[in-house]
Amino acid sequence: MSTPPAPEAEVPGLPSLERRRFMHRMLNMTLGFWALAGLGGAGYVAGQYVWPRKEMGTTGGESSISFPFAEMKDKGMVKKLVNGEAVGIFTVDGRLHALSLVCTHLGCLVGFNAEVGEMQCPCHGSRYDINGNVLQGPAPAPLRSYGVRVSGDTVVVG
Amino acid sequence: MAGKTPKARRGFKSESATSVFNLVSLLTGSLYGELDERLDFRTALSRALKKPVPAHVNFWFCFGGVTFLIFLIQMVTGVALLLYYRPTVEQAFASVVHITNNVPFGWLVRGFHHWGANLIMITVMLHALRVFFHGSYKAPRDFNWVVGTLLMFALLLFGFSGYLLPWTELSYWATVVGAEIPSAVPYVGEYLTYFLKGGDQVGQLALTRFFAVHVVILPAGALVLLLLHFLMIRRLGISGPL
Repeated sequence: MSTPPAPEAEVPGLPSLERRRFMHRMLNMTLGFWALAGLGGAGYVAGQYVWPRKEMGTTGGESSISFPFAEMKDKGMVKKLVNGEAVGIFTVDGRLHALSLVCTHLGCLVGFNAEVGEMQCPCHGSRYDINGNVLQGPAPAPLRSYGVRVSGDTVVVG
Repeated sequence: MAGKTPKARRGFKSESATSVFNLVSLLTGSLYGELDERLDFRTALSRALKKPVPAHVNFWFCFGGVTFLIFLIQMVTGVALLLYYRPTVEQAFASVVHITNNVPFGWLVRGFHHWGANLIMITVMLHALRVFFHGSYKAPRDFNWVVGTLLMFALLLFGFSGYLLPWTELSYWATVVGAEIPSAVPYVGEYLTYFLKGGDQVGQLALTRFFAVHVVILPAGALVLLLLHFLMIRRLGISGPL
């Protein structure tokens, strides 16, 4: 008749157990700290992203430009930057016109065809009249038109 | 905090699972304990965390999960992009530029969405290859292979429709070319292309319907398919070793 070996009693407060509990607690706290820090960071990014901003950012550049009228005589169309946008200035029947050269379809630069008096886009064939109105698609909207006048010997746009 | 009463502990046998639970309860706060008393989340959570995984499961089995993770990222960042994106031909490109350059962390959100869209195609292909070469597509998992294939087509359509939305030269021409592909179908091909483009050429109507497909129709369909995909793999289990 043999007596079974006495089981190793789990004594509460045994040093090894204490150490294990301690390590678990530290691990949990470390993980929890980094999880909270990550959540806080993500919350900051999300808050910054969704909060509406008034300023939309400008394109830069001058809103009004001028150049000597003599420039107009050499070429059919003069190209200038107004508000950071390419603008073409040309004369038809003695009247000055200033139109944005950025096609409203996909943003290619349109060219002035002096023979037929039209703005024509080389990319997808959009055509505009001298006031910027669409003659043929796929352009969805007219070209932006700029005010233009002659002041002495200079042309003022915008 | 939860986890002090003997009743609440019964779901766990190992200390590591308890640690994971303690972490979750730390994050969810004391509310979890109150809910757990009424709904017994702990048992459900312990079953989910202690779901046994076969010993042969290795690195290659993770790509389905990675694909789903990227899908979740795409959902979150996609909703975030919806707050600023404007689906009109006049404003689409400008709004994307605005998101990238002016909105705080907009570059990050759009970058995640852009790269996620690219990476998810790689991970879903690796997932499909793993399933194929393990023969995991065979019965009884054959229906899940079909659902997975439909999901992969959904991802391809996500990519195709999302590509047009920034309304750049590249996206415009990619759509012009891509929309011509269905025209090769006998008899009805021309109608399919016309239906896809919403007209004779890619314009506002094409952008509008690509937008609708990308943000509403495909997500709804993909979520249903994902649910089926996960329910079936949960029911049938991971396939055996090679």
